[in-house]
Amino acid sequence: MRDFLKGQAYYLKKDSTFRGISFIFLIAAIVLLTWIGTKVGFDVRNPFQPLRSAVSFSLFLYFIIPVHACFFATEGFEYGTLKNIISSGRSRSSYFIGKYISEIKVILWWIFQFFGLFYIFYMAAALITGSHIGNNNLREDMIITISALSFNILYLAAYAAIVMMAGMLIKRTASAVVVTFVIVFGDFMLSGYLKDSSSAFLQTISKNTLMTQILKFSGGYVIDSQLIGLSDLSEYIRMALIPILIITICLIVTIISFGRSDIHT
Amino acid sequence: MNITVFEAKGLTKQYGAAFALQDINMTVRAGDIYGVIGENGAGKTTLMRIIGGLVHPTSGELSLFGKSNKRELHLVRRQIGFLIEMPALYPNLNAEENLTFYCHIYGINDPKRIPDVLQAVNLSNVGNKKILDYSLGMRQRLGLAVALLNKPKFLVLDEPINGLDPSGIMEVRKILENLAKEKRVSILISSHILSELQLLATKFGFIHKGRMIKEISADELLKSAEKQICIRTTNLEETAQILKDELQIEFITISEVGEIQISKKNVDMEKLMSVLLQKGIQIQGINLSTPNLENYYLALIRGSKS
Repeated sequence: MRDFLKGQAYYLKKDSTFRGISFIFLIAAIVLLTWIGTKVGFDVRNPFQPLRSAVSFSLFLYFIIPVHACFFATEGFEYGTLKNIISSGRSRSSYFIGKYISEIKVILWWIFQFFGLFYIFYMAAALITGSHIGNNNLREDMIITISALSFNILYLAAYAAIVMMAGMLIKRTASAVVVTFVIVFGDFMLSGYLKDSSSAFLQTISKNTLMTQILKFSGGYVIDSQLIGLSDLSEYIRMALIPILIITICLIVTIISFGRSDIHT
Repeated sequence: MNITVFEAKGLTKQYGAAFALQDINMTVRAGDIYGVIGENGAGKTTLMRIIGGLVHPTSGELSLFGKSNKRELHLVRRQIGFLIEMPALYPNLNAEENLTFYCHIYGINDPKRIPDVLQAVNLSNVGNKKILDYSLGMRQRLGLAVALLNKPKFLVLDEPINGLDPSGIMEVRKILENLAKEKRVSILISSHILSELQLLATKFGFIHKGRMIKEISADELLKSAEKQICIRTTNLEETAQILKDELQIEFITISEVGEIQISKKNVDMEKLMSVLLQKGIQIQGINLSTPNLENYYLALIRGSKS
């Protein structure tokens, strides 16, 4: 597995999609910094406050990273490298698990890159502009920030599991990308449009979409002008169990179906 | 000891009601260069995909280096090099980067391995050119380099000389002959260029509509058909008549390429030449043909159809 992960890391390093998205996140971090700086200045309530502001823009990650996960899942079919890897004695399950682990590493890197760079630039800007750096509300901001970053990793991993499952089943990049857009935007629309529905059933669907959970932990879920966040421990647990369940189901389904399928790339 | 590298017993692959492969029994031994011959869709690629673990057989047994259970097959496949259909390469990377990727995947740490295989396929001087800009022949050769990367004991090559120019075909033949002779690498190879396959392979298997209809060694092939005298002349009809009348040759064939073919058996070459010269026949060329894989294959297919 270590060799396979090394190979995937090498591929990603050379991959123009990976490089392009890394560049987009770099630009996004700078744009966000400039926008916040010009709007509210660089005063820092506490050391976690810049990150708390940034995590409310987490949604942005969900429109880009799943598309990469889709390309990454299907590239072996697209270029035919999958046939060389499988015929060299690697099992289908270890191929898929290796791909999934590599994508998790990519997610961690991009979260670190986007939020990390934003934080470094923000604090540097605060120091350069001589803005106030305080220590108010540290505990609250710290809990919200750390939980939002952790949930982002879990939810992006869940999205990657869904999209990579679709990619491995469909086996064609173009079709898999279309399905990825349907999944991401469909979930987003279910969350938004059904939220204010008069039907209790549709409201339940909206409340349980991945996007609703993402909006909740990133501080963007509003009902009747009220910001709804995570209130008690049971909600944190529920929030963590949803992606874990999705990841488990998607991995099992993919391993079983991919294990049985013939490869005709 | 003659080790069995690959053995198939009753190997069958079915898609719905259609059989891609049906009851294939065959053996490849160490040092064999086994040529698989068959028309498009005969089942050659399916057979190779099954060997590579890409396609699951519907029934039958497969063993590689004497191992047949799933876990052991995964392990022994590390000793096999594959080139199945189009070479699997990243178009935006150059040759060295593609090979580096596969070195990581295969766990190869020897830094000399990449220059060695590039040299073996004559691609040492391609520089940083991306695969995107490679000709089909160059891609085929790099695909072969990938297959050679893990120093395989068994090579499975599906149409490896596709798209190669004549010198490229000769180079690949030399590489494969060297591997088989010097390193005892067994090779399972398919090609539609039967003349080339005849020069290379030591054993042939003919697959027709998913069935192995004949297995024959190169020696048996040579013995199977009689040698023929081929005469090229401007006046085919007149020459054929003279041969009939003067030399009492009953069976004369005029081939599609405009040659008179007669069995060498019972014909005195000197007498034949003098008769044709006496009768003023202009001979453009005369040669002795060895048994031909192409003819053998066509006869076999015709027999199978009838």
